[in-house]
Parts: sequence; C-alpha cells; structure tokens
Amino acid sequence: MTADLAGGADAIALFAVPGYGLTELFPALRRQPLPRRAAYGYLLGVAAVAGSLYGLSHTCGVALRAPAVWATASVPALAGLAARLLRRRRAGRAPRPRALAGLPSMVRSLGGPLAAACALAAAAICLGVFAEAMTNPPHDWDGRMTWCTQARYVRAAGTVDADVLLEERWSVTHPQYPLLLPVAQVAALEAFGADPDSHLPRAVYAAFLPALLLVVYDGTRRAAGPTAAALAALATAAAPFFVRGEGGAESTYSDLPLACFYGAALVLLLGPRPRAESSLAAGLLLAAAVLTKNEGTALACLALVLGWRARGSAGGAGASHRRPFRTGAWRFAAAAAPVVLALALLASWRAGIPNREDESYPHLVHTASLWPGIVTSPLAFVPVMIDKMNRFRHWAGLWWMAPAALLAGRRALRHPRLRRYLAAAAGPPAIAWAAYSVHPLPAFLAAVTWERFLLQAAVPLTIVLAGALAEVWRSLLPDPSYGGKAVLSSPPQKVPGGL
Amino acid sequence: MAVAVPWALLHAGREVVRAAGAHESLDEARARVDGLEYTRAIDSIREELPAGEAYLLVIGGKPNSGGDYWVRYDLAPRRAIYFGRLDEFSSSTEARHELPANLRHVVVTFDSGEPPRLYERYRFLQEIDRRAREGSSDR
Repeated sequence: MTADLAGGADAIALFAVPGYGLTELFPALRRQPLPRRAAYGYLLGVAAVAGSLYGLSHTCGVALRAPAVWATASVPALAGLAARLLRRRRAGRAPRPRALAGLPSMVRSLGGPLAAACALAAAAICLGVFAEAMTNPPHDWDGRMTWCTQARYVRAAGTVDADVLLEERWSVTHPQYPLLLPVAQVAALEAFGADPDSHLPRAVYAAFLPALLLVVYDGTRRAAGPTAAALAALATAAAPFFVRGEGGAESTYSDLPLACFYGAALVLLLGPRPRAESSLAAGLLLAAAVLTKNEGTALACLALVLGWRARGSAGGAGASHRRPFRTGAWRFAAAAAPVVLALALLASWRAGIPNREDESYPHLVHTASLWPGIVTSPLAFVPVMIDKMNRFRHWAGLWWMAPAALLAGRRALRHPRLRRYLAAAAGPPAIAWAAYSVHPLPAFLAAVTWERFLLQAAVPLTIVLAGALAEVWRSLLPDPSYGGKAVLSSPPQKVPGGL
Repeated sequence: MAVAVPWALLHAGREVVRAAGAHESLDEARARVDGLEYTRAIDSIREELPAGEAYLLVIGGKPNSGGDYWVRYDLAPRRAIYFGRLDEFSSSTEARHELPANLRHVVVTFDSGEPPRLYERYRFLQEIDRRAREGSSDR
C-alpha cells in the first residue's frame, strides 16, 4: 500500500466541500478568489460539521456514525448549492464558463513574479506536510496523550458523552478539554469506515496549514499589499515550529486549528468593511475556537470586544450614519450569538464530566494569588520563554527580527486597525502569562506550552509585523509602484487579484 | 527567510519523495515509527483484550517518559484504570487488597518505545512477589 493520499484528500473534502457551500451564504467570502475562499470554507466546514455533530451528539443523543456525519456534511453543502442556484436565477442569466487564464495573467493576478514564487514555495511546503501526515501515524506528545485518545473513546462509544469520560474511575488525561477536533477525527474515520490506525485524521490537521497561510495572506494583504502578504505567508510556512513543532501542522494538537479559527475570525471582524454576514461567519469561527481549546473562550471574548470597538471606525457597507450604534450592535449580536451557543454547549457537556488528571485553573487562581504573582513570578518562567524563542531550529530567528521590525515600523501602529491586531496578538501570550503566574511549576509549564501560545497568535502577529515592515519599506523606498501602496486606508477591492 | 525557506522546501521534498515511495501497510508504518517490538506487543494485547474490555494500568517506566500515555492511546478504546507505579508495590498481599474485583488484566508500561506487558491479575501478583524477592536478595 502506498501512502493513502487519496484517502487524506477525501477526509479534507469532507469538511472543505460543506464549508465551501457555506461561503456561498456570506457575500464577503463568496467574492474572495478561489484559494482564500477555500481556506475560509475549510475552517467553516470543520466548525459547522464537527461543531454540529458535537452539539447533536450531546443534546439529542445522535450517534456519531457515518449516516449522521454524511447528513451533517450535506446540509451546508446543499444550502450553498441552493443559494448559488437562487442567486444565479435572480441574476437572470446562465453561468458563463470562465476563460482559462494564461500563465502571465495568473502570475499578474498573484501580485507579480515574487508573490507567485512565494505562493509556489508555500504550496510545496504544505504538500510536504500533507505527505508526511499520510505516511506516518501520530508521533507527537499531547496529540496521543489527549486528543487522539479521546477521539478513539468517542468513536467507540458513538457519543461525546462516553462513559470513560463521565465515570471518574477511568484514567483520562484532560477529560474536560473541548472535543471539536477529536469529533472531526471521528467524522473523518466514520465517514470512510477507516481503520482506527488510519492516517486520515492527520490529513484534517495538515490542511490547517494552508488555511492559516491563506488567512495570513488575506489579512496582511489588506494591511500591507499583495507582495508583502505573499512574503509574510511564506515566512510563516518556513518557520519550522509552524510545521514541525509540538502543536504545528505535523502534529495532532489543537493549537494550529485554534490559531486558524481565531485569526480568520479577526480578519473578518477587523476588516475594512465589516458586515453583519461577515460577523456571523466570524462568530461561527469563534464558536469553533471555544470548542477547540480551553483558551479559545478567552480569545473569542477578546475578538468580540475588538470587533465591537472596530465598529465605529469601520463604517461598513449599508451602515446608516444616523444609526451607527444599531448597525454595530447588530453586527456584534451576529458574531456573539454562535459564541454564546458554543459556551452553553461546552458548559452543559462539561457539567457531567468529573475533572481529573488536569490542572484546575479556577482552583489555582483561588489558592495561588494571581496578584502579585503576575508580576513577581516571571523570574521563574521568563528565562524559559526567552530560551524557547531563541531556538533557531524552532523559529529561524523570527523573534530576533520581530522587536526590531516593530520598533522600526512603529509609525504603522498609529493606525487603529493595526493596534487592534496587536491587542489580539497579545491575547494568547497574556493568557500564558496569567497561567504561569498561578501554576505551581511555572518554568515547566512555560517549557511545554509557551511556543504554542505564540503559534495561536500567528495571524494577528504576522499582520502587525508585515504592516510594520511595509512601513519601513515605504520610508526607505517611497516608490508608488511598490505593492505596499494598498495599505490600511484603502479598501481591499482596489488591490487586484491575489491568491 | 534565506535559510528557513530552502530548509523547509528540502524537508517538504524529502517527505513527498518518502510518501511516493511508501509501500507499507498501516501496521508496517506503526512498526517503523514506534518500533517493531512495541508494535508487536500492542497488537498482541489488542488480540487478548477485546475493544470493550478494561484493564489496570501500571507504570513501570521512569516518570514523565510518556510510555504510559502511548500505551493508553494505542490500546484505546479499551478503558484503563490507573493502578499505580510498579516500584510502589512491595508485596502481592498489599496489592491484592487494592485490586478492583471485576478487572482481570493488568498492563504494565515502561519507558517510551519499550513494549508493554499484559498480565492476568494472578500473574501480576506473582510478578510483584518475584520483584520483591529479587530486590531483597540484591540488598
């Protein structure tokens, strides 16, 4: 048997196709070029299919078997198809076959030869990750300790309320960790009747890397132009930790998916012309963040606050100047509603599960003192954090460059949108700082988790760094032909083409 | 980027070539990654213990080596009850009092990559006594 590349592609399609259908319902996503639309579609697909199965299994007792998986995946796919047909009928014309673009126009549409080369290199890196995932079984730490083991328990029981989680006597690490990604694993395995040792679930994780890069590209392109965006996406793909680190694309941790959900929601919420539909899409992604990892709840709340603060400055298509508050409140409600539902589901599911083999952070916050620990205990964990960021084999010097870039391009941070991205990027490290401050073994915890928190902040951080570097570039070479001309104040529609 | 991009492309190229040339079953892939002896031991325990069965998990390796996690993952959905560290049991009499009544099997895990061992409960109790005797004669 060769590596099951076709099986892996099927597992990805199980989420990508329904998600692509969902993008048909959101005009801002529908109008994106195919690769970016597919990236948002994949994230929405995992959120919708795995999230629905999670909710249906817990609230309605739906068995997590192939019929339920296919039915859940069909609904958004068919809804998208119906919406497309309806839109075509309303437009009153038959769909026109697209003319095949020649190579020069494709290169132009990607933003020029440099951007096209970056896209090709990033695609090759993603292909390598996919190939690795389809050749090897999981070999990471937390993936096998927590997420993949939980997936096996849930698959065997056919429910997210498996006895092994509900009964305290069974040994389960982190039994209260949210199960969105294990449910996605179960969906992929059940849909294709795969062997428990099959590599199919790894394909689901590998596909988050191209999604992350395209979201980075989308957000950065709006902030710094297409060339800078392509370079930023390639730099992200080439940072070894994003690919091979504990939590990267070659692992089965939930950190990369969380980075994708959080980052994509931010790009939609903080974009130049947020609309209620985009806010709803962002809300679905934030709901997925809540159901992906514990810290997803805090990050979703932070994103909602930043989105709310962005409402006034953004204006927005169709927003009446007489009713900005009402329009902003409507957008906020559209984003917050899925998050509230996800929080309710998570609370209800957790209520029946006795916690064991886990840190109880609410208990630690009460027993250890967050204040003044938050300022006195860093002596124990900051050296570990610095050591981790200094590792060239993990970050290829990214953290040596980042402070210099931010300092040199600090003028770019005068723009409110970049400041919001900076605040969003500070979210995961702030959560880490608070957790280390109350933990009895802060240096150990920092050693095993710090880089994953940095990964979670990948999208907003890359956008800020690219914005700062574009500012430096502009001040050095005030050439109007530079791709970075389409910066923050310009609407994204004016920048041609792209991935 | 000048270093990281070529490095990442080289890594990706290696993985693609390896995937294209991979002609192995899932079991062979597991044996290549986890080790032949370990994979054989897991497969043998899987045959002995049906998927609905449960077992007592005893850690015989160094703390935090991860061996117990990998065995629990590889044996899932078989449920595990953590029974303690192997070096904490000094006599079968003591262990017998703590054994849950309805579980017949004990899986002892060792350091990462070392094959686990499956015992019937009476054999496990004999093993504890044997180790205790060996320990006292060493002294």
